[in-house]
Amino acid sequence: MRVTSPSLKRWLFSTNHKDVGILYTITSLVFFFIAGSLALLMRYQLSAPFGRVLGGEVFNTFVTMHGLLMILWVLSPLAIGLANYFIPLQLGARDLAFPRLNALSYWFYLFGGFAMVLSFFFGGPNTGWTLYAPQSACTDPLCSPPGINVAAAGLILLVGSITMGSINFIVTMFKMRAPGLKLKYMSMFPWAILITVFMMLYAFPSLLAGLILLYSDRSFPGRLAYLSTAQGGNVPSLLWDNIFWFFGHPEVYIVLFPAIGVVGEILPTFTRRPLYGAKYITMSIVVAAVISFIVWGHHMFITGVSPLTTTLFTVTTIAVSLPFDVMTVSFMETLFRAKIRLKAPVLFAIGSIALFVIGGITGVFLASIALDQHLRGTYFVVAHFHYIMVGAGILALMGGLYYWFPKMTGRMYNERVAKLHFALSFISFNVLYFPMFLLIEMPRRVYFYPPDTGWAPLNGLATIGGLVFGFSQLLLVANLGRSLRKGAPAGPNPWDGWTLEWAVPSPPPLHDFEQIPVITEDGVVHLAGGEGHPLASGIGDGHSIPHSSHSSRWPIVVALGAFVFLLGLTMGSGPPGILQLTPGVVIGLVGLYGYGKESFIVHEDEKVESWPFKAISRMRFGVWTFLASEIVFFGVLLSAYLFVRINSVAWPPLDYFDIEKGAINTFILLTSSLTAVLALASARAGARNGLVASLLGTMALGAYFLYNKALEWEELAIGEHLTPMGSIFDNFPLAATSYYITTGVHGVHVFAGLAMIAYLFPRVLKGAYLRHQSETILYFGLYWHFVDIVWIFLFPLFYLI
Amino acid sequence: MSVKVYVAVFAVLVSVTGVELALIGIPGISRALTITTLIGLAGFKALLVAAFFQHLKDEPRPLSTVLLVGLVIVMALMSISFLQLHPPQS
Amino acid sequence: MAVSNTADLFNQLFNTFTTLAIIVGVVVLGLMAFLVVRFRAKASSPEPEDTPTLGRIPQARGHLKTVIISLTLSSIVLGVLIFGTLSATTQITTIPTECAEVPSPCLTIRVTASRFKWTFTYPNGYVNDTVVTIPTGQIVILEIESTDVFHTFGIEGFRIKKDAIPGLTNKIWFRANEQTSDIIRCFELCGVGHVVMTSRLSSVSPSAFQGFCSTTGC
Repeated sequence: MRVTSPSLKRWLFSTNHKDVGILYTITSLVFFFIAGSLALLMRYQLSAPFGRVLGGEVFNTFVTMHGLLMILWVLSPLAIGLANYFIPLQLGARDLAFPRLNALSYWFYLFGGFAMVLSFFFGGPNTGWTLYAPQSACTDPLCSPPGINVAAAGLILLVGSITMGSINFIVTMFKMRAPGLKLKYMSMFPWAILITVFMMLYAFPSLLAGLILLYSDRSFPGRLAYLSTAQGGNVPSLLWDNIFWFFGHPEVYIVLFPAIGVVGEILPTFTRRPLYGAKYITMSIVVAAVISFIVWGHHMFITGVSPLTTTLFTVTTIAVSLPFDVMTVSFMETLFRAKIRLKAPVLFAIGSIALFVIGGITGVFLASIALDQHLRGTYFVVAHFHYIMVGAGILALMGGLYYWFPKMTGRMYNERVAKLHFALSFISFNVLYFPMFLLIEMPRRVYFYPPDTGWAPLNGLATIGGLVFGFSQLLLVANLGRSLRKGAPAGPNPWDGWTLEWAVPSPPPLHDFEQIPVITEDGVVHLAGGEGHPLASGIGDGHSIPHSSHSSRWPIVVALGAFVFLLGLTMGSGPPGILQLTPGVVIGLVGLYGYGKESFIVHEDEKVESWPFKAISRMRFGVWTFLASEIVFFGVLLSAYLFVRINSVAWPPLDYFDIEKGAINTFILLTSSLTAVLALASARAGARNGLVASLLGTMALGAYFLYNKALEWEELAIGEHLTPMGSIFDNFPLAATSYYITTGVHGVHVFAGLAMIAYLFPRVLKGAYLRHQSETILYFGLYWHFVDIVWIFLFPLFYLI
Repeated sequence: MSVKVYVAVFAVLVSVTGVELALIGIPGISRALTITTLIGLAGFKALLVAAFFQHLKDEPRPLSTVLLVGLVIVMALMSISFLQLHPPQS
Repeated sequence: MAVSNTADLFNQLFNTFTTLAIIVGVVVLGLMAFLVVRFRAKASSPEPEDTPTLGRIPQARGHLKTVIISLTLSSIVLGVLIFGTLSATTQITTIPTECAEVPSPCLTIRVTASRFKWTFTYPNGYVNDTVVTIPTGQIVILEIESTDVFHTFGIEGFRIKKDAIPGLTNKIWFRANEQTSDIIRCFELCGVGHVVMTSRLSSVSPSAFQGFCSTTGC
């Protein structure tokens, strides 16, 4: 199989960033039409009072799936697809840092999407995309259907996909820039993506933690009770509200910033002038990204929380307009004294800015606690966020599609049809959503309304806009699809752009650049070898294209294993049995083993720009970045524990948990950290026996830790030797929930570490990982020590206070 | 880093754990002080493991920043969710 | 004067926000449209000097001054909005001090949300799950709770809402200025009956309310 053949095998196994980018882009468009069809059906239902096309349950499921799919399976993946294709090119690199991980991210995303669609058939989630508690966690038939579990599986796969992707992009953007390509020379799209992936790294672990709480409550109803009951002082609605929106608010900026990046790419090319205030735009995106992590409480203005916190959030939320003002003014200034070639990409870009202005202004309304008293839960909110996500987000990304289509395919799309697509979309978008600002009294997520409300005319108008908008999108597909085969041939730089992707052929060859560009201090970009060219003086990667791998069969296998495993975990009702989990585990292990054993060649250039991460290898940087996301993940789990503890009326007394066992476990894990680092020392020194012994010791200690934990779990569940006597689940359900979930997740991490040692061990016995190859032991150690650090905090928090 | 350093760090970790265990046995210390001290000691141990066992002190400084940002973000969640239901009474 | 004090507060603030929004929106969008038309490429228009081209990092363009001016102007507008918000919020959320007197001149009614109705319980135990009757001119406090899931209680014309969350009792207060019949809805998706979870609020004259209380016990 040739890596560039049009066969199915090529697409299933490709790890090349261009292929993965195309996969992401096309898949996101498919989900766009699926989720969009749900929307059209809802709009049709609501076009007249008492519309009876859809029943209530179906409608509620549609509105939930529409939100989840659009936000998580369309908006970000479309941006990620473009980023996959173009970030390496714009950085002067030949692929991402971890190509197989990249493919793995895609397959996780796709299989996650399969799970979402599957959940439909189990009565999909019906609580709105926000999955509010306790309705999402309650399992009695009147509440939420079992499909929520399967949807949770899909969401967990998506979180995995995004986390892997963010690690990949972070390492790539710091460790693979062409010589001389300083961070300040990057154009707006790479900058926006860099900031976005950091946000993803820090925000998605919160969603993962929430999903684990949700799944646990639903699988063990009556025993685990974080989100399902308000007993004992617990306020499940607030707990979920915090955890979800702590993720959810940064998430909507994660969806927006790549679009802003695309606008920042398109404007210079079509205005024939540099971006005005480019560095201020970049700074503004950073500021907005930071503030976005402390505005989540604006979704909780009327929940009854303290005025201190609501005041904080109203101020931060109103203040976040400021960086966006700078961005908007800068984009507008770019148009001043420009020479704007009004082609489809820039029409979409400018349209996106215009709709962003409307969306942003109305966001300030919602940022006001006083106004939220009336606007909460109404169609005003729906209008606001669709102006941002569709108006600013989708339109800009579509502009990006048109902009980069010639590069990806070597063909030009039909400009007239594209302009028609723009005009229809822009006008119908406003007909669809502007009336919703006027539907201030209409609640969200209602599946019909009586005629005496007077809401019919505006709803009818919106439906007309929606139908035109929806069907106009077919123009995009038809245009690009047809142009793929019949479009006019496009050269390497049809738009006369300045960024590096325009320096390579359309479409680029497998290896992207014949020679990596070099940028010299005077701002000159040297694109190919020649006299006086820096390459002649030894900068750059020389005259031959280094050999790299471009395909691997293991990512899809691993992803399939994860998919099957999670389905086994979520498809039945109640806790899963071993039989349900085995197929997924087997497939996953086969995949991971193959992945580990495979010799996959990733060429690493020494002469790259890597400030400020020069002195750390790509893999090490990747492992640490992963640990950063784990910090947030465990932090949110701990927050959940502290939340219920602080608000609880009844908590076990101080000597309830077995302090002795806990202390022993603490010493065990600390010792295992010592053995782990001694393993590294042995490996570096080339001492095979020392390495064998230390790893064995680490494994034994880890296993003993888990054994003790299992004993504790049993004791607490039975409760014979406790004071007060009786199962912890009966006496202290909240303490039980927080203890079992937190130590359980930690225990899974310990187990994973043991599995890693088990995998490494046969090779260690054969003398692998010594001296220069000891990095693997280091990576294991980084993970193991982190797991120890988590316990260092868990021990006092659960046993000593 | 030499084995001696690792063992020394380990000895400190064990001792500090011993201090934690002893602390809860001492009567008369306010709960708030106990909790603060325990968390502080845990943080100290975590720093030692990170700096020496994970060799974080030898890595580029911006790496520690990446990790610290995660921690700060999570503290924002913890403190604000606390203040939501337990604001300081004026 | 609107139907309630809360409606007044909302309307005033909303009008301020809307006026500023329209001004800013018209200016910005108008300017954008002007810039696009004025600077669109024509055969006669000269090629700019700093056109970014492949092979060179583009020249930096822009002034810190512009950033500072736009930030200053924005801050002024936003400052007005923050000030208006905080002052209105304090009024909306602070239960008037006179309600703490004994006997309280304020009428406290418990509102219980459940799937899919609102149940009103008066101080002396009278219960009604279709309409809540209140007197005009008197401060009414609603204590809002939920027996099952997350609902949101909202009175349409009175422009006020509060979440009904299991495990919390939330309070809102208002004073009706005129006799009216208003509609109450649920504003947080709580299940298939979310859309029919409606009720009515009826504000009547104080004498009519006294009559109501003598028949029902209140």
